[in-house]
Amino acid sequence: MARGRAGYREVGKVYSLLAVAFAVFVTVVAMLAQFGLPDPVTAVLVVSITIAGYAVIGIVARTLSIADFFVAGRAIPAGFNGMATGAAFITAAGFIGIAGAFFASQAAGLAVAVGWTGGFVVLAVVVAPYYRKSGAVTLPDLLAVRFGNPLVRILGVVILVIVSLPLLAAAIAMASRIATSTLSLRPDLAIGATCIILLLCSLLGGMRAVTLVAGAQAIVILFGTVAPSLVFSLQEYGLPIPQLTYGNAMADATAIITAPVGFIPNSAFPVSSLDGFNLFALALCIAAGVASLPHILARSSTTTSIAETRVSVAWALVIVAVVAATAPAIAAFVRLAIVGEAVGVEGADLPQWLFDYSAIGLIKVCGAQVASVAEVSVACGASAIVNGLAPGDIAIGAEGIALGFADITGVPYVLTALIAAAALAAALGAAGAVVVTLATSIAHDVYATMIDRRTPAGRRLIVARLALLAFVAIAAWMAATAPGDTFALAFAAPSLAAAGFFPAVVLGIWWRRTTFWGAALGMIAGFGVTAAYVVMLQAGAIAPLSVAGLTETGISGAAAAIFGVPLGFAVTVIVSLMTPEPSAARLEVVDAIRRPNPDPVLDDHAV
Amino acid sequence: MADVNQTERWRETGILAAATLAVSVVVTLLFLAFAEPSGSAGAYPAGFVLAATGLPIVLVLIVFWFVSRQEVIDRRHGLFED
Repeated sequence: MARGRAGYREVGKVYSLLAVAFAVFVTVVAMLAQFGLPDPVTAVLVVSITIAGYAVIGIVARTLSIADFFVAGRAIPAGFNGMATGAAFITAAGFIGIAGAFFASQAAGLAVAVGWTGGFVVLAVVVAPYYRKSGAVTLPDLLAVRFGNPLVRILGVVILVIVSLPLLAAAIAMASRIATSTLSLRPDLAIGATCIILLLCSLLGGMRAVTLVAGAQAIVILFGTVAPSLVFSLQEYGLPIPQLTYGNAMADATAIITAPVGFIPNSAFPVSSLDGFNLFALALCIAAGVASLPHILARSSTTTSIAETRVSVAWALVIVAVVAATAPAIAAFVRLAIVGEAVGVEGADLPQWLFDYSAIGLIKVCGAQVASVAEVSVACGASAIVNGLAPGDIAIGAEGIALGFADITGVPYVLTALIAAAALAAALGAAGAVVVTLATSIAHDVYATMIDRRTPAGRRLIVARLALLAFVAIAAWMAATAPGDTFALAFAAPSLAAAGFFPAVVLGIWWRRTTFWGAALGMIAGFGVTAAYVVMLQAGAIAPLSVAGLTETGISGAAAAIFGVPLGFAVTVIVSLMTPEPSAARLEVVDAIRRPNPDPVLDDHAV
Repeated sequence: MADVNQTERWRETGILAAATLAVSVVVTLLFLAFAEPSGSAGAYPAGFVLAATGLPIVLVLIVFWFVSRQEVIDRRHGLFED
């Protein structure tokens, strides 16, 4: 461990320099763009420098050590690990979706933001330190250690794969969609390119590599989130703090016209209107999901100590809080630009971005894609050309709001490229964390503990790498063939993870009386009900379940754990009380998980 | 000796965890209660800005406070791991 600590001591300094270098690079490209560097070249320069950076870090961080591959040698400093956790959590769909949610309605945005940030509070207080202490390598590993029965490990692996695979596929699909639009790649080539980048970042160095790459991705995500709205805030209000000036933008927009601009539900935020109960449920499900998503928890096991894990989660919350607090600014500035430039103006004065984004389906005018003023006239009627469009005539999707921010608000084009780089970083960061978690689980939970217990570390490493390749291939196939279902399942992933893991993990740590049968049946009941609901909803076999007095529109799939988690808790508690008390050896394990100092009760499973 | 430390420490840890979660929930609900959409056009939506920007910041502060309190507890019982 001493070697590891020394090895990572310089990491903060190196990444500070990387951040400065990246900022200088973007500034230089911005200046070149002022002197006539064509837009496509600007985009390729900014995006490809980040991708090249990830690839280089991924290759430099290659390893032959199983501890490095599974848990980054348990040697990552807390602050850096927090940044990497933030990058793993903020998926591209999340990055785009939270801005879309704030645009769709204030309440929807707040629900997502509260779920995100509240989830990290729960993670820091209730789960992460104990996960780190348990010495577990994966979430199923923690359950197996705690409950001492291989059945929970098998259940855990099944749930982990069902939750994680759609997340991986959605991240690949989103990354390749961004690469398609920014770098003008063919869609099939973009999926291939995304997979190659992902493999470069994860196959050689496992967790060590994705952690170090995620540090760089966190920097790009922060730049891409804050810089565009900061520039707009400075231009429009003379104050470079978008988190304060968006209130002015909202006031200015309502001063022009109070009617809301339309929102197109799409893959990043698939619901345009969730009622109050669904939003409440969504916030709770996301919060419980943050504390139960296997790849987020896996990021808690890479720090040097338990105390460091808590600090790490706190820093992850800082990254997430910055993105969550900037998202309403992105939404407000886009709305101001739309009502200021596209609403109520004569046909000839309609801005070019309206047609550009309409051509790719991210903006609709009167429900149609329009490429010219004539088509606006056809879609909305001739009077709209003279009197101008109403806010409700224009609808924009979440991807248009987040990725089109710079074009719509009129800030320099280099910021469009920066946003694309950030969305790509978010997608790759999540994909890297998820795929390593999947591979580790197969190599450790399935191969090393169920198939060949005496397997040498070298073979476990080979199995992990083969599993990683297989998962990337399956996810790429899902991304290419059924992106719609993939996104819906990924949107429901926090709910599924919460229903499967949250009761067993929380009670396992905090209630000594929890028995193996309680946990196992609770997981089956909670996850089974939630997964069945999500899948049948997606297949169209059932209509959303409406609850009289609470919601008339029915429970959304993303909020399905609002029943699954309480059911899991109830089953776990009732069955635990009905089955014999855990043995003294089990109770000793619980106490060891709770005790903060390192002691030999639990083996470090990553050795 | 160690067991006494452990029992007492776990009790305090439980209280701290419950307190942190309770404070977080209360603060979140308070912020959301003030986030009612403002009715008048052109008015600065102070309640919404406070909730959307202020709440994440306050939750960050709460977690760092929790981390420092937990360290105090662990140190007092000689169980802090460097």
